[in-house]
Amino acid sequence: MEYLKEIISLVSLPVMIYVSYRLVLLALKYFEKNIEKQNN
Amino acid sequence: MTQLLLNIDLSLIDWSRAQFALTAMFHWIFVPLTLGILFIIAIMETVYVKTGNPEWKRITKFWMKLFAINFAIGVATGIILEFEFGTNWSNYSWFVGDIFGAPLAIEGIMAFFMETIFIAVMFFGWNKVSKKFHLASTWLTAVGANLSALWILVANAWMQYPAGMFFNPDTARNEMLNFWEVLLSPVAVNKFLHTVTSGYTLAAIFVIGVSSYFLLRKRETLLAKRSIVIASVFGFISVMALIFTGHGSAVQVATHQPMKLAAMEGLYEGGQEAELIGIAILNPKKAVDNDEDPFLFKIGFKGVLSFLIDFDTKTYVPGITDIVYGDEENQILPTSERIAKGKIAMNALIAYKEFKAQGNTEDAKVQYDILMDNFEHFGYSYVKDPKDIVPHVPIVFYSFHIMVIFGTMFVLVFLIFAWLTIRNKLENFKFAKILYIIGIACVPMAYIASEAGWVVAEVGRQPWVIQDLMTVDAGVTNIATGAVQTTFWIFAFIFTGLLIAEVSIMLRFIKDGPAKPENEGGKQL
Repeated sequence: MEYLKEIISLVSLPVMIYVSYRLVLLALKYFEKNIEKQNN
Repeated sequence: MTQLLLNIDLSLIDWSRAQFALTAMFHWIFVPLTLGILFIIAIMETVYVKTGNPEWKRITKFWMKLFAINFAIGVATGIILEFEFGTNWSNYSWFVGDIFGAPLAIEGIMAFFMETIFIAVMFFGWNKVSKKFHLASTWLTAVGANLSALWILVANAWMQYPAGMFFNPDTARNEMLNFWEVLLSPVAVNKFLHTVTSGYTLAAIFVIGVSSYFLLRKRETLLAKRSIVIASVFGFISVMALIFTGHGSAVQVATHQPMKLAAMEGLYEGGQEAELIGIAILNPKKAVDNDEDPFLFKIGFKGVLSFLIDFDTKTYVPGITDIVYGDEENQILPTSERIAKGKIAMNALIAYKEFKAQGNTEDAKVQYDILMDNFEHFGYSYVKDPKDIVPHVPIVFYSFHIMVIFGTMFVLVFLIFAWLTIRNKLENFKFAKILYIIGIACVPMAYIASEAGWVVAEVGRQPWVIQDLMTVDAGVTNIATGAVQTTFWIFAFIFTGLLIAEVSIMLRFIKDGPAKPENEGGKQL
């Protein structure tokens, strides 16, 4: 495939956004837990 | 066209260039925030839909309103920019309209339609459509805005690296030969990824800056900290991608626009083990035709520039002098020779058209072959002096280094904010106030870095409007300079007014803060 490298690069963008989203959820989970822990 | 060039007033070129730069730079104030904040908002709304907690709806709506103010003014400046191709750059549009027009048209048809339809649902659809439909609209608005950026950046990348085209001597126009080569050129893909990730980084910095303001004022602290958690994680990944794609862009520049790379690094004498400049002050007396030292002060890293381009410190990197005067050993033609070959190509085109008009197909074919043999130098026929191909080195050099230094600093900012906020230690941090002030100060710095990136891209490729094919002065519309001057000042006045309006509306909105909370509810993440 002539443009394989470029297509992979373009596809990596939505993958990056999805990974960001999953990591944000994980970070929020820890954040809310820490708030709860500190409130108790 | 050569005759046309002789008739053009030089100040017309400068004013036309200034007008386009003014419009583009004002437009770019609004675009990056739009590109990035939409994804941050979409993530916030996803959390709302997943948890059902109305606090997340309040957070989403707050950032959505800030986005709305920014979006409206961004569209206004963007439309003017597209019209200027026709009004101020009609020769350019004639020469490449068959290629350049396609991505712009797709942008209008596909991306704008998508963006505007779903943006209406996003703003006015709360409580009118289902939560999931609304969420889908927010995500699709974000995708639409980024697709819109893709097409305009494909068009811009084509100017930096003309690919997938064929020059038709009968019409003297460039025509598209391969759409995929234009869309998927490595320059276009890298430019798109680097530009959108810069927008994500800027938006994340914006969210952190506004949230820092709330924390400094001890208002809406939970909303601010939740926003920082999202922005710092999203921003950190974005800025890492930004650095990665920045490296990709530099490799493309080294391959297709070596003069731009040399200007970015203030590299006059090229060679192997080329130095990467960390920080430096340029010698204002240095020019391509003198032996002055290029720097008054510098901290550089020998071999790193060569290594970054090809993962080999022995890679040859041409300097400004090598490109202007040639380097036989490394097969770089002197610019004077390229000018001569460009003139041969231009004369062959003129002769071809004359023979064609006389019906002399045999001689026309000979001239056509001469034209095609020298076509890669065609644009050099517009260059008067070899030194004219050197862009304004200090502007390119300092803009590039400001962009890199600020961008690298943001990595640290995201890491510190993420580390402290996720552990909920931000407010108890010893230097919290200083950190909040840094967070706020990063907002204008992100805008400066973002604008500086475009200055590098556009000033760095001067004098070319299309790399090696057409100079800026050949692309301009031959209209009265006074008309361009008048519209320049009108635009400057209107854009400044719009910017003041946007900033003051935003500041007032931030000062007022988000809407009052609705009843708490929902479930844990």
